[in-house]
Amino acid sequence: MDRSLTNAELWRSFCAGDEESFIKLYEQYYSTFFVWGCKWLRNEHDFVKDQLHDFFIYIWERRDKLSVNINVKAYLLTSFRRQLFYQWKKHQKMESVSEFAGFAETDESELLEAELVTAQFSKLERALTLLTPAQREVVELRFLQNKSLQEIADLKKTSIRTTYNLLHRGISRLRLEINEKKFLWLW
Amino acid sequence: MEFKSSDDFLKNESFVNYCLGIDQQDTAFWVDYASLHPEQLKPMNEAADLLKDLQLLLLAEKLKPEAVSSLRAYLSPKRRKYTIFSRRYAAAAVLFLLACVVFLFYPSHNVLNPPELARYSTHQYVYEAGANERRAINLWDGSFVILDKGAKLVIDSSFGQSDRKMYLSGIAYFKVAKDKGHPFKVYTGKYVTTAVGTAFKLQTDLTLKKLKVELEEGKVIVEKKNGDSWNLVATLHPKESISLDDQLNRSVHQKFSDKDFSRWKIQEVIFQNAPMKEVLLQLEIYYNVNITVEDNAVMQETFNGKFRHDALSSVMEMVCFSLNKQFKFIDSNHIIIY
Repeated sequence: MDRSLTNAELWRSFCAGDEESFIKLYEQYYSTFFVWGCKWLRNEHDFVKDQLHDFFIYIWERRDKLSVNINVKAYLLTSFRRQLFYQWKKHQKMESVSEFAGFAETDESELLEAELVTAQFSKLERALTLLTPAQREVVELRFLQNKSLQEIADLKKTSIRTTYNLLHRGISRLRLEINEKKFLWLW
Repeated sequence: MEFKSSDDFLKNESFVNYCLGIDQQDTAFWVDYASLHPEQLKPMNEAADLLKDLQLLLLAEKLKPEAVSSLRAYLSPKRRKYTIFSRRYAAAAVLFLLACVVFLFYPSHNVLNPPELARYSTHQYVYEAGANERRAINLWDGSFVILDKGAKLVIDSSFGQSDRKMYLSGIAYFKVAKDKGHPFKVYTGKYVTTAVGTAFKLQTDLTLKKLKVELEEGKVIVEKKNGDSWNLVATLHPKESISLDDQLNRSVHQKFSDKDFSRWKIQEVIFQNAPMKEVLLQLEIYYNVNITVEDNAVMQETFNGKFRHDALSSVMEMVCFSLNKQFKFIDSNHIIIY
């Protein structure tokens, strides 16, 4: 697959200390990891955001100790999940935790899961870019800022009918791009 | 209404309200509906999941640019000294304090690096004064801050985006660079004080849950947190002060004394290997004067000195002595170094 080839290349030059490759990896995985983390921890947005930043700094500082030939997705996702889990327990002070084990080997099932996660998200991410600006705006107002149709209509000085249409054309577009059966997955 | 697939649920406004948790009536209705129609649970859950993912993804995309720039800032070799703070810790730290803030606006010719103000911050920067000494800080938007002993200032990572946000504990003095597009906001406990083209002083005592604001010039807005929203508590006019306590709005308007205000500023003035340009700029702020220099070569010098409640003339004597120069008052507010 073309994409994973690029990933492997990015990873190699990142391990060699290339900052731009590192940033590219971050950009590529940011949304996926954020959404995944938020779902996993049930909406601890700020915590996940902070941990994501810290995690990438952590791997940057250890770049010369990382293996070069790995499955990038699976490796990053597994490591991030471990870090998140460890930090979360620490944060919750639930129990005393053993030392963070660092980067362990990834096993077959985790690899599969990582594939699934990233494949699904990249679909949704791509689908979002296909919305028209107006659709995108209405979708954000409705779902991110929790505004009612009436509020959006008032805000955009338009009719509730127009707002409704924009929103539903947006949703249908997203639906079309994402294979519905594949879109629903559980962790 | 008939619901055949998750799409039908998604198209229903009331159902979306329920998923977003923004309407109690809708929530009650759909909880009820689910128990009456267990066969619909699957498409309902599908629709709810889709919404949840979409919502999180939209949020992620919103956060991404800032996250990337903060990673870049970390990698940058010229990075400032900073401490990465998790927001929740910073928020907690602000809760115990005695704070006093002074805002002044820079006359625009005094701005060291003019416009391009409100440059983005990418991390929370944390500044702390020592236990026994004040500390002066030049913020990168051109504003100037003096932290009094033991004070701490946390610059929010969103600084410069839509506003200039910071959290203060202890006592501080602000000279705010003018930038109407980016309001300058200082959070102290439950209150936020916003400069709207202004000069003011703000004092909070969190153990007694009191706040005092003194306004020198311009206009200032004080708001208090009430659940998730902010309530306007007061707007002030020049030379007015207001005292507030926790029991909502028992506010006292009164005039304050210019003298005390100035005395506070000059309690302690410290320069350590400070560039002359900065020294003169600070003296202008502390003593409300203009200082002109005839020979610009002196700007290359640095200066060390500590002053406590000193008169301007004796401070100027010290400075000019180190520069091997003279000074004179042209009028009460204007000094020339020659």
